Amino acid sequence: MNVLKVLLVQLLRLLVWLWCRKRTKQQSGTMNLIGVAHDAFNSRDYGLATELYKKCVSELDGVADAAATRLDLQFGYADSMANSGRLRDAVAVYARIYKRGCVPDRLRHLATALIGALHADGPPPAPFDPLACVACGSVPRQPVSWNCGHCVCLKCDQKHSRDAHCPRCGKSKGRSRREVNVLINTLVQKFWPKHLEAAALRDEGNSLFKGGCLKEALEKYNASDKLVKDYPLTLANRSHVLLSLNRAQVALADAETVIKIWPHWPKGYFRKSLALSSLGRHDDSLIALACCIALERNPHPLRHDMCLALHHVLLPTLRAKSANFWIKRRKRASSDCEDSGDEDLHQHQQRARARQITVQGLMDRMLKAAEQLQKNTKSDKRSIDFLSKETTSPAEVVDFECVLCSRTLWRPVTTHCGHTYCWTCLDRCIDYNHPCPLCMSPLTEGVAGSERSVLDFVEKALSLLLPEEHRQRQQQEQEQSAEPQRRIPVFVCTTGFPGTPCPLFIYEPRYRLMIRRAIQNESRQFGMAAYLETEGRYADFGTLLEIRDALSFNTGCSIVTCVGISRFKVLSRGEKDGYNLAQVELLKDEPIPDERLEVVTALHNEVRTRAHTWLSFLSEKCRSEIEQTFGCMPEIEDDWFALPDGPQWTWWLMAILPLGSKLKVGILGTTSLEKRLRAINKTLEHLTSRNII
Amino acid sequence: MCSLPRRIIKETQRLMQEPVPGISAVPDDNNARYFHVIVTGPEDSPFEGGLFKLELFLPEDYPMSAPKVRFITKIYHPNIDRLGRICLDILKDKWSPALQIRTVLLSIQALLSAPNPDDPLANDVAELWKVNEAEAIRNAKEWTRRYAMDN
Repeated sequence: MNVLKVLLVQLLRLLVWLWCRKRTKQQSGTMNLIGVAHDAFNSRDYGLATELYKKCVSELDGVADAAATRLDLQFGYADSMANSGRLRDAVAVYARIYKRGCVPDRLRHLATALIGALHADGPPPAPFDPLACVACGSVPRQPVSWNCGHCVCLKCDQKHSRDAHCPRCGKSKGRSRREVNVLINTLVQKFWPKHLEAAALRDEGNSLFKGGCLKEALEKYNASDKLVKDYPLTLANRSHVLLSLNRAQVALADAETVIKIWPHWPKGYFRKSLALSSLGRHDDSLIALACCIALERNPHPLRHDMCLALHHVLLPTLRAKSANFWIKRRKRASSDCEDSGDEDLHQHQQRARARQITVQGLMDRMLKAAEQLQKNTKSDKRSIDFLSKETTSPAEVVDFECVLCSRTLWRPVTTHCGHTYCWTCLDRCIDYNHPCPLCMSPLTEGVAGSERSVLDFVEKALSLLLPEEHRQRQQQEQEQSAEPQRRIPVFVCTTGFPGTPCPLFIYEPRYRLMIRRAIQNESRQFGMAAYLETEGRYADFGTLLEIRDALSFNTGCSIVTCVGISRFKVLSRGEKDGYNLAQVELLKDEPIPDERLEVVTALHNEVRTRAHTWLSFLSEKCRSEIEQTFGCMPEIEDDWFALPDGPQWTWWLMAILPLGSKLKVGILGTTSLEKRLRAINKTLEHLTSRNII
Repeated sequence: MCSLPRRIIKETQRLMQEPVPGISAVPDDNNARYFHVIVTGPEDSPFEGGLFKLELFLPEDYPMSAPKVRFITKIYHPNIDRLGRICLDILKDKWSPALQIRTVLLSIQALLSAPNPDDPLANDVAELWKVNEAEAIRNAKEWTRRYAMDN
């Protein structure tokens, strides 16, 4: 019997041991699973992590001493879902966790995922006031302009000095030290003196606020608002200070006015969110914050605010408390004002009931509101050029006049010293190596090269304040460029020949201008004629050249590669901005009469042979230099006798033959191929007989 | 001939409408770039009471290049030579395209008030101006009376 008893006890022990072993195994298996889930989460495989955490949570449900671990797991589960985009499901789990009591504020994954969802397509391009500072949106104070052509307040420039790129266009701002833009400064002072004063008061308010003098700051904002009513920048700051003074209701009113005026400005929604939160209206606060994030370019600094807002929404006790607070408050209000009291209370009870919607519903509402706002902002065609409508004195043409050409500024650009000229006027100053015409400080490369942009403010101010003048000026420029070129510019230098390269080094100021204009002009052509000392002027015959390539140097000089297009005869002469202009007639060879064709062909062949002979006399070095500049001698064309300029090789030869200017011009102007060939033949004969090379 | 640049048209208009005291500049009938200028000798200078004729020409690349100005009336001045050429920095290397006809003429008027014998163009005049200023001023007054008055 005893033996049986002992056996029974042993069996029982074995069973208990087996059971314990199984249990431990199961536990350690779950622990392993948790590890894998963590790994999956950390390696951002949120889909897998969700599955694993889900399994862990269900397996741990039966274990009594794992409360802390279970909480972690549930957060892991919810975080994984949030990260894999299952926001609604995630929120349900978070809500469940929050229901069980107070837990740490661990909502960063949900907040990040929400911000990501709100920001999926990036913020819509917000409309902006074209005349405001691109950084702060206020009237530009002590404006400085960047290389991209946008302008900001000097203070904003200093504040954002770390960013090398313009927040509006993303282009480089250029060098860091800048002078105040004299023209914009003058215009701002003339058009918006009240705005400047209001902005100064706002600034004073800001520093008082920073220093903790809230009431004084409020006074400054009030004074600023008195000067320029309902200016969003002032109201947003006043909302902030009012909230700090525990006047949340008024703060909310200011924030709502801001949103009404600038519905595209994220800061308005941010202020509204804070005010609402302070009033205990956490659901609405969350929605306002979502709207702010939907419009904000860089929403990540708002993650903390998002965490808090979510926390408040999820925390059941707080929600209840806030509801109680509202009821009490309303009751108090209703006792003050008997008539509307009952109705108010009733309304509030209704609202409190409506509050009992699920958190998921709130999420839906929030995402929808943000999406709608983004859509509205995108389709909002209303321009927000407040400043142009609030000028205190009328704009005059003379306000926008270029000091160099005395015309309305066209494509205005600003130098580093802060002076503004037309683009082309500034180019001309650089051609002449002039310093800045107004202050004589050197014009550095920054304004010469591609770093330069049209000054946006002046361009926009002109089109908004003097639209008619702007249109006319635009028309003038268009007409000027569309005008058929009756006269061609003439570069007086040497003789060019049809089809033959003509490399040029451009250093004279007037020719820099001429070449620049030719390049801007679609034809890219100009005339070339030699100066004839005997006549004291340039030759009557020249060659139309086409610019193939231009290489500019920092000094303003350039090397231009041109090719002769056609010969011309000068009909009349003129001058423009220092260079010559000519009305010309293009020349073509007279057709060769059939009876002369045989003679001309024989002559042509003879000259070609003679040319080869002469070339063979030249040194190797000389020949290679010729080839480098003018290429090899062109082959004979099949229809050489019928070409408008005759065979190409004769012009190639003309370019390298050691002839005087007058002779070259004479041959250039000859429209009989036979005569030209005879002249070349004679020259070659002369050269070879005397062995001149 | 090209149409006249707006800059020259505006400057001419302003010279006509708001003339500078003591200076008259009238464009030639046939050439709008050529101005007949009369500068009155500044008060308290040896040139007081004189009317000095000058010619002023705006080159094709004005205002990138300075106007060409010359005294036609003979003048005894260390910075103006026998041919009437003027030694004035803004007409040469210190020229700025933001300067105008009126500012140039004002500078010339100021040059009459303040001769600068240390940067001379007429060496003999400058020499005397430095050595014996009283005599130089007497000469200048005499020349003014002889060449710049009544005619």
